Amino acid sequence: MSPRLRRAIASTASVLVLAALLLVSGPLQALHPVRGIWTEIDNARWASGEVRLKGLKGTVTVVVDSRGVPHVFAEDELDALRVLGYLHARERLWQMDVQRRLASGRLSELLGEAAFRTDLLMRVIGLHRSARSTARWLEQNRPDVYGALKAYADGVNAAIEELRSAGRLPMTFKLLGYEPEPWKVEDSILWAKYMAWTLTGFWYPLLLTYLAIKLGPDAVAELYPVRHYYSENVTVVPGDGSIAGASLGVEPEVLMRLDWFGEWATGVDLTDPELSRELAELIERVAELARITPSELGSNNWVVGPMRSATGGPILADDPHLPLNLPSLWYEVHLVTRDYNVRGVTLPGVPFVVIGFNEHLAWGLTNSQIGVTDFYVEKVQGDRYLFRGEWRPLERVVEEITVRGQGVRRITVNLTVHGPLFSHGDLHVSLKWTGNTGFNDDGSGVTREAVAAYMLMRARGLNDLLEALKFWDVPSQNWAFVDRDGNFGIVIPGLFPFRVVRLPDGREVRVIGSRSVLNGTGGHEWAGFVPFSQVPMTVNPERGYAAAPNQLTVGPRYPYFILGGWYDPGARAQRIHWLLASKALHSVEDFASYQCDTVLWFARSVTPRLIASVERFPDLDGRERRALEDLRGWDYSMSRDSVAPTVFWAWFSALYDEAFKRPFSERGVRWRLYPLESTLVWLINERPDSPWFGGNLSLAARRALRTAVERLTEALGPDVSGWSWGRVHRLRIGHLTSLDALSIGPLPHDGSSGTLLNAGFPYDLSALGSRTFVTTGPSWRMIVTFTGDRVEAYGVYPGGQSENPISEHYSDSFDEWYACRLHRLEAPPRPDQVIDRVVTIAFRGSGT
Amino acid sequence: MRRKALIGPLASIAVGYLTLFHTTLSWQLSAVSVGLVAGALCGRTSTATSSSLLGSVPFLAALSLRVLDRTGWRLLELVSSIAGLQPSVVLGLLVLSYVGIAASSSAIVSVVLGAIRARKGR
Repeated sequence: MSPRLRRAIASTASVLVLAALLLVSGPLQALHPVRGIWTEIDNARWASGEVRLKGLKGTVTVVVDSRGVPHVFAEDELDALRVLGYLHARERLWQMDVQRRLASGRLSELLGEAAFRTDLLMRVIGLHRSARSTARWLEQNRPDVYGALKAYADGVNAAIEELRSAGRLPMTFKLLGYEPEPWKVEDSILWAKYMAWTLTGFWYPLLLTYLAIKLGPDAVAELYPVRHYYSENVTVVPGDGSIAGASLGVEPEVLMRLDWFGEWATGVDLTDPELSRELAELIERVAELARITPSELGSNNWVVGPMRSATGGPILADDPHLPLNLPSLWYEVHLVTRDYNVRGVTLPGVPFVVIGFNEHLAWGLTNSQIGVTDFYVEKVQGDRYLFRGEWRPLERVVEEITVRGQGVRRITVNLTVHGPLFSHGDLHVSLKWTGNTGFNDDGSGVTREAVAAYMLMRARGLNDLLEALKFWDVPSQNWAFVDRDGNFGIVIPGLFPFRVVRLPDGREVRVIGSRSVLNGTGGHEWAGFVPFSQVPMTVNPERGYAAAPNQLTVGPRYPYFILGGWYDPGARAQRIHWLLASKALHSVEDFASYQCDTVLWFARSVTPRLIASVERFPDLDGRERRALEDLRGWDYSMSRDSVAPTVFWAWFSALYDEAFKRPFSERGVRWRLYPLESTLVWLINERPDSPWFGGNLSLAARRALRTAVERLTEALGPDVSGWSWGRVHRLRIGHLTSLDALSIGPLPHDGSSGTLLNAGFPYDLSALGSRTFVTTGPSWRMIVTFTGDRVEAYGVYPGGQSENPISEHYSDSFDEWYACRLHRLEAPPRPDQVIDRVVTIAFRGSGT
Repeated sequence: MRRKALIGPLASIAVGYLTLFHTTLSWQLSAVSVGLVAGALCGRTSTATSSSLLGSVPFLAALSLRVLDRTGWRLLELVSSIAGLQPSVVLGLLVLSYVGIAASSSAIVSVVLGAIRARKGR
């Protein structure tokens, strides 16, 4: 072989090898031994010493305890929040970045086409536009709050710069091959807006319109009543809802009987076949885009006053039920400044303690569920729409969505006076939500939760709490509180828009929310917001306790008729009321056990009746008899080791299908929108001859039992004793990337959607043998009591302080949470008093 | 002559070290740099290839320190499980890639330079 040929072969082979290796090594880029993912090893450890942080006025001492919780001691509040920003970014930077991308519709930049629809929806809703307006408003009107947000953002950016320049950005950035942009004030507001949207941006008026079109208004009134069955005796605010000096003006019974889908109420004629067909199609398209499913979310909180407390002081319990993810939604922190000593949980990206306590006050939130979203059918011609007799120009916003690997896509969002439009052919429906209209109802999107949160951290008791909550606009929440003076109760602040509706008999009533789309040409507009003096609240109630696990807020004589909202069916409310009423004095330990209570109230209410309805059938086989036997001896506890919960769940699910699957399908309902449990329980107990059961509950229940046992046999085997609830009801806490390697579970799990130990799980037999997991639940459990001058607090969340998967604090609290144990939450005023301190860091100004 | 022969290997090691620890280049470009230097400074292809292997030593040393650390190995396990591979396979691929890129780059350069020299010689 000639040298030339040899050289040619060698060089060709080398080029091929090089090309192949460069190609193969692409995915291994993040494994650079110096700057690759290995830097997570350094990031995983806090080290005692000194950190220079630009802009600090004084020295800030941070003591990190054995669970990675930072105790921040600063003289100046802005210094504390600057350091908090730094700490959030050091522990949760990637989470913060993904969250702001999700909320602003920029996920496609990372994930490509797979995230485009999510981005499209978020760009249409426009939280980023409202967040920008809110930031501007705060800068001009509340420089103190803006300053706090700015100091926090500066702290975040200092950490970003430090990590970036040292090549130590979190591994997820390296694996995905991008770097974070600087943090802005509006990014903090954006995430708060997103949380507000997920909690109150209800699609239910659309869903109920859809059901009314498909099933008829009478069926909807029976299956989805304005006020749920079995809920009147356990409203958040006790009593009939009337407030001195204000009245509803119309008998509630009259209002309940009205057809709220009628044209008189909405200005939209749902009996028009053409319109209703187009409307149903539009709703199906929106539901597909928004991936609307009935919510499994909910939360618990309750309080007792000193007269019902074994500690002698009031006690508060709170556990918000939200999607359970890793990194965790919450980040624990303890902040001490000259203005306050506050401890609790923050949302990474937001510089305020959302749920927590200081030396004077403790507070915890649940969702109020009151409807603050309306949908309007707009009359549009070309680029104009009709409003109050005038053709107005549509406001047009061009949004550019960058899709990874595919370039930029431009979409145009059309807005009316109500909000963004969803269009299908010639039909246009706009979305009006308090978070986007703003507190002046001017469409600016300016809301003031940041002001309330800022004031709350320094609140010195009930009066300060009430002052702060005047600024709480959205999401409307049930704020349970206890204070050092022994006050206790629940306040439900928020922007509650009301409309003045003329009834068929000519009388007028103020109505909150809607159950149907409304005519958008001007006759069904919001007339104002409920003034703070009339928002629902119960302060120091006589019975000595109050509870707000997402049930109906007030009695039917509240001066505003609450038509819209999506309340919890009430099993948790019934159970906690029973627990609180059944004992004279409650201790912290009692409260902890209530938070993990697994008794399903509705099961207690219907199981004996269901058993009685089928036990005389002679054709029951051995497995069916054994299943019924298990149910007879059941204590109604949804315990993961028991068989009875599995049988009940499967039977109840099959009965749902018996009652609703065929009629819903025949009438064209395209997805599973079955009524709440309280409705099925009511039908079982009160309407056993209902047409939904084919006129005979016994026959329907018999068929359902057979289906349930067959499906359980198929999925879990023929041995009934092996049908433990934990084999069906499994918990998975997924990483935000969905990667199994970074997730927890699946693990057998106690509870259900309706138990105080909330573990969202659908009544749907298709969950058997599928990857249907419990993915929502108590995202933070907290109990606080004041006894004399002392505050005693406990808490836990299912994860850990760090998003770094090799940090010891990635998920170190999960086991405690899973076992229903709580950590003691100390809040000492001085660094040397932190009991389990591991690391002490002095933050000092950099002087530049 | 002997001293001259040391230049290529030593320069390769130096470039391997510098590009890894003192620049923000990706490790692939570090390996290419090592290969380029080895190929340019060593006359024969076999010598250039050997030099490039020596130039890989800083990379291999840094990588060894990472994976010999218990936490580092855990991290490798984690990333490997995301890819659905064994950690040893990922590690093997990584080492093979660095060394292979360096070696093939050096071979290409030395062959090309050899061809140029041969043409000039004629």
